Amino acid sequence: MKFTASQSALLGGFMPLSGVIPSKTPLPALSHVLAELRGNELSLAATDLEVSMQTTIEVKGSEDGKALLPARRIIEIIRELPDIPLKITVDKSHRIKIDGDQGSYKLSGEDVEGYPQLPQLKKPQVFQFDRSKLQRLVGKTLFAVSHDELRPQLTGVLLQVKSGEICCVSTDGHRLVRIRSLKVDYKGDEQDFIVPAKAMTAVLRNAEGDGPLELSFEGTQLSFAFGKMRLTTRLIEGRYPNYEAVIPQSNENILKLDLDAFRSAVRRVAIFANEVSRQVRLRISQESVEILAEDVEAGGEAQEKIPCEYKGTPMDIGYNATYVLDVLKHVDTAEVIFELGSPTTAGLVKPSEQEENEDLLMLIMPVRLN
Amino acid sequence: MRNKIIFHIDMDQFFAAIEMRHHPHLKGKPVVVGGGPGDRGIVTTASYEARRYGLRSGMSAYQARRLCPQAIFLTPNIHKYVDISRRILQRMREFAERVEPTSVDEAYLDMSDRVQTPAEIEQLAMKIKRRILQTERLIATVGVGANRLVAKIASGMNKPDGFTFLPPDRVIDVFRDMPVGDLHGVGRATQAQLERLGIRTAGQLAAYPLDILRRIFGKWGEEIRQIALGQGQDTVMVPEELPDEKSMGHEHTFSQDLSNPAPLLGRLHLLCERVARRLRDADMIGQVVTLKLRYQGFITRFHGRKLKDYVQHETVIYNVARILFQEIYDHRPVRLVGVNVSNLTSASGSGQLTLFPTGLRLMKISKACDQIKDRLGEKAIGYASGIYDTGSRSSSGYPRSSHRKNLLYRPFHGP
Repeated sequence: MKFTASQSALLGGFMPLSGVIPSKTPLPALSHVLAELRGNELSLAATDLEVSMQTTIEVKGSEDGKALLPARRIIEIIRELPDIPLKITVDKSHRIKIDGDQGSYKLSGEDVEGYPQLPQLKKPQVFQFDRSKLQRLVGKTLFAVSHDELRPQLTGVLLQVKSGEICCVSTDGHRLVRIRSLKVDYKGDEQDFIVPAKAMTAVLRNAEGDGPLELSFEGTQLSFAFGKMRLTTRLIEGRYPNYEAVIPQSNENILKLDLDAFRSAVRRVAIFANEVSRQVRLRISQESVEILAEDVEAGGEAQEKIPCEYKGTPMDIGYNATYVLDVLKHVDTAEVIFELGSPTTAGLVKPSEQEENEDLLMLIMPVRLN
Repeated sequence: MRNKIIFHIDMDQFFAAIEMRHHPHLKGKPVVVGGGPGDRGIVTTASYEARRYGLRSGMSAYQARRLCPQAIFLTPNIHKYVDISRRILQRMREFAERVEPTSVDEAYLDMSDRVQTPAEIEQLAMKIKRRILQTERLIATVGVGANRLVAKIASGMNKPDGFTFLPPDRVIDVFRDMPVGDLHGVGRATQAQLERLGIRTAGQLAAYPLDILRRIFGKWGEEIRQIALGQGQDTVMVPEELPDEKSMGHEHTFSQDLSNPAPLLGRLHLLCERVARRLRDADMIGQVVTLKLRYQGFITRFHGRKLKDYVQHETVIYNVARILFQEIYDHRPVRLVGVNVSNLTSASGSGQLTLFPTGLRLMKISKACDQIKDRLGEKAIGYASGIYDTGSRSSSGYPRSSHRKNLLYRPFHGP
């Protein structure tokens, strides 16, 4: 295999794949990028057996072929080079040679025979969505995904497509996010997919930009195609918990706060919260919210008061400050609305105004105060 | 200040008595509850007839058979004993507000507010004994004193079917000639050390210079001297007042080492159920689940995990325990399996609330099962996986006397 390509084109092809390559693997082949040259098109692929990613870049090809290139070192050297044309040759004994202006670099690849077969969807169901829309949904939900291996379903983002709507949900049991994109051009059946967080992270990083995104689905595989990239993932099997049932429908205590003022106050007060529980207490009254924290062990305590608009019963409610700050990060309006029930039930957090054709809802479970 | 009146009620040869009640032909014969096939187990209770041959609780079945070859060995039916124990505790609660079980067959009752004169005390003790005899057809011995220590000594003085009241002015007399080894808490090692000092009786110990005892035994020296003087704790605690337990666990030794994991997992499920039931009773939740496996040859492995959320329900505990099992099981024959939940905290105390608590329906089912078990016995209802239960052919599901205490699902709540 022999070709010439610019440093920037190569970096653009290899970099996205690094998100898929496993950091530790019993199969050495998986720490490589599978490269195949056909004419002037170089296709690159990587997989961790669960998520796989394929992309193509334009090169000036001179000898077709297939090779396994060690991902980490190839990316390292390409990144260090200026944007110049690079000539890459892989010989029959899997020796790789990169020639640039300043010099040449040699390293060893592996035999392509050892590389696993990449999943191919034969007759998938295909839907099309707006790429930026899906990317926004993923960006709003990924943070609340669980890392608890005992509940595998919660380690993924629930992606629901239904007539006129696409919806993403994530939860770790302590907070939950549901974001719906409405008036979507889809009229098919309702479909639910639990997509591993790793695949969603790759979508978030790479699906930026305008244009369509094609979603294909077959068996336990789901594939996202956008631009020159295709990302295929194994879906998480099992049933996602009935999240609708835990979204409160009649929280009558409505609290409106200035986002920046509230966020900075929580950040400051949380410094004095217990390191493990991260508990802050919100003392909510008609005109103001007092934010309090105390760490008996370390002997620290803090209190701040900020004005608010509140319609409801005055109450003290406790939260894990990290959860509050995480949620506030995803509010894009100047004001944030909390819809509260009681100090021991789920509270809803919403932007003061929804984006057009969008419905964003976040939910945090309180900490029971002693 | 008025003296406290503490009753110590001790069920006579509890397990053996229950078995004899169920099998009348055993009456008057040397009966041993415990042991098991192949002399693996130990004696949990010996009837008075068997005790004449020198048989004692805690002795190995092998030794017991040698001392008394004609002894009749019975497999313990732990569930039955626990059920009866719970019922007896209910009877006791008819007489006292403050009842503290310390084992499956004994309890302390605070009667200070009810009786004061020796005649009243005796009358009440007899009434309790009669009530237990009428309802359960079992015999109890009652000891009464101004503190727990004296009450326990008193109940031990006149067994079976006894009653002894040791008023404070008689305590010194009684303790004077009592061998130090009979004092509660004085073990063989302490006894030997005391004998080297020439101390053979409680009276001698009480009169011994405190500074020397302190030098030899440290703080323990002060404590044993207090015991020898008949001074001790006089508070009887109700379950809510007992100090929080740090962990709750159950384990089971199989009568034969198991090579097949299916019955082992069945048993593990059963153990998780028991732990969950105790957690529910105590309104506790735990964050660390630990599995204990003992392979053939006494090779013991512990494997635990700290969870993100606190757990209480058996389904969740079992799911974790099963994963832990799969991670360490190496297909060697297994002798013992156990599960423990630790990092306990109050279920209704402070803490992060969760969106998907173990299904409310599951919780309702479990609570209903608890009530059924309270009324009809521990085996009345259970998970189907329990059919893999290999039975309690071995006494060692519950081998040591210290385990008697664990049998009380503390704190105890009636249905």
